[in-house]
Amino acid sequence: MGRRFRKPLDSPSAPGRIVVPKVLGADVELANFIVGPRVDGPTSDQASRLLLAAIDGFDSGLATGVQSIDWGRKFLPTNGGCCYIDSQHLEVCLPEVRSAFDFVVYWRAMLAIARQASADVDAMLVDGHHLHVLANCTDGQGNSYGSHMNLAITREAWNDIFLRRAHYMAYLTAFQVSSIVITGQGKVGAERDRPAVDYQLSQRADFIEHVASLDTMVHRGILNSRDEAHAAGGGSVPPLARLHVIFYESTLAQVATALRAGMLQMVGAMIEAGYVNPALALDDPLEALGVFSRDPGLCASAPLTDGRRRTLVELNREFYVEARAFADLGGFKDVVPEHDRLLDLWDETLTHLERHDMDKLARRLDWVLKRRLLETVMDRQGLSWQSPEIKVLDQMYASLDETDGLFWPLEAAGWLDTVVDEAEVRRAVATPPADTRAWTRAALMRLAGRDRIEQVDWHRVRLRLPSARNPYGRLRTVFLPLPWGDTREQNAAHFANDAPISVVAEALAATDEWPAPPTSVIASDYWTVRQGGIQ
Amino acid sequence: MSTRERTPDTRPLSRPPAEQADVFPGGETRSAADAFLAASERAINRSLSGSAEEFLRRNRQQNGQ
Repeated sequence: MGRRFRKPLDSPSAPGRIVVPKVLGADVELANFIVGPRVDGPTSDQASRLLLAAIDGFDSGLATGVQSIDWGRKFLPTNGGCCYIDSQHLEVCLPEVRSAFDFVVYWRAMLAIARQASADVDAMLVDGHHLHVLANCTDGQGNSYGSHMNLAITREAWNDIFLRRAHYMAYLTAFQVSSIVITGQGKVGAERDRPAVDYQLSQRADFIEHVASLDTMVHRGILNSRDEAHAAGGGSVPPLARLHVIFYESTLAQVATALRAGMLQMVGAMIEAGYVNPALALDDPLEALGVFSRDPGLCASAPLTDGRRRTLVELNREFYVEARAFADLGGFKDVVPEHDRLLDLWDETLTHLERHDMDKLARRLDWVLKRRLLETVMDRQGLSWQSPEIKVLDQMYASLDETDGLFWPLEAAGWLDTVVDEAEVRRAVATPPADTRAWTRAALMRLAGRDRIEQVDWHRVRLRLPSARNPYGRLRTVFLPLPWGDTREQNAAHFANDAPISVVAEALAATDEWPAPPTSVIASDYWTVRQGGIQ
Repeated sequence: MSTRERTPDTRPLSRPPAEQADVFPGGETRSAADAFLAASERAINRSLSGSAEEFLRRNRQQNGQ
């Protein structure tokens, strides 16, 4: 039985080029460690495993990576996201979302899930010990961990960026550098022997060494060329890819988070359409990144390839102007939800930056808010940027604990602008997005139950269903090829009237697979045979 | 071509001039700063209640992705 998908749009600027819905995801590594009198030595490995164990999910059944990279992945039947351990960090992954505002909702929902796990683990620790979980991207001591974003793009666009058109790469690179003025969480000092500074906008800038790179743990690039689609095209949909963005960092301010997602969606759509202005390319993006990040006064400028100079704000404004013009052509229609609201938010924020209106900016941007807070503490307590206490507060800004973290009480007291309701966030902890395949993934997991889920991944759910002919059951796989497909609207009817999982699988065009028995059963049977032989 | 500083912008950004010590970063009055600080005061005090050096030592993380 076939399924129908939304027909992608033809690009208004280049007929024939397809622009697909700009579905977003994110995989977020958190800092985790335990403090207390009995702690002696590193605790991140233990902390991350305790946190993962405290989160209820279905084992993905996927191969676990070595050296605790991608270890113990479990998908959540609640909202369709997942969690695992990466390099001794709890990593939480958002379910796919279509809107930048839903990105904020599910971003906060996944942090809430991690926060609850942290509280549950904390309650089990011996008195005087405390588990810290921080949503930042550096420990301030030379170690970074990512807050990656994922964007659905066509294979053609991915190839254009990384394989065919150097000016597309240069354009995207310049955009990402320019966006730190909005997406930076801010950090105290410099790392990795980079030039000393009191305070900088970006936590990741000191860890970026190349314009583009496949690596994520060393030699990190502004652009990352990891090529794992987790999706496929077919029918009227062209082959798909995933833009894996490792450059950004964890933002807590809602406006910054919405813009981090929305700006990427819009620039991604423009590139896909071929709406690229090569004149915005930076002459030396790496040098510009280092200088811009170290310039909270926003005075520095960097040369473009044609010799013109732009400050960080001016450069980001240029991309806004491009995006607004593309919107006027109808370019974001059906591919970037609420693009007018996003553009207004972007425009207002840039205006505040141009006016150096730090009062308004502290309500929207983490790097401004954190700087203001730390400067106020320094002023009152006679501390400096070099004080260990300020370095602690730099870290604790991003603590998920609502009593320890510096950000949350400020937000609760009304010092930040908000773009989503907390009620939506609470709902998103237990509910998948309705307008992406995450809805069907979660619905299948809930209906099948833990025992019938053989394997779960972003683009497929493999079920082990009862079979009269095979004691190991019948393996059936439901493919979810389109990130924006298999929505509640498309598939809810299949789950109605208490339909059994076998019927739902059939309705979702599940495919048969060779019913290979699980490894544990093979081993068990083998042992039984051997036992029988001995007897 | 190299990236370089422009002529410094003289508008107040975040740190107040020395002669305006009672002006909150950003230009607000001290009472506004008090209110701002009060919102996160409990968290700040909790964070600074122990040894900062010990916290930073325990916080050392594995380099990730």
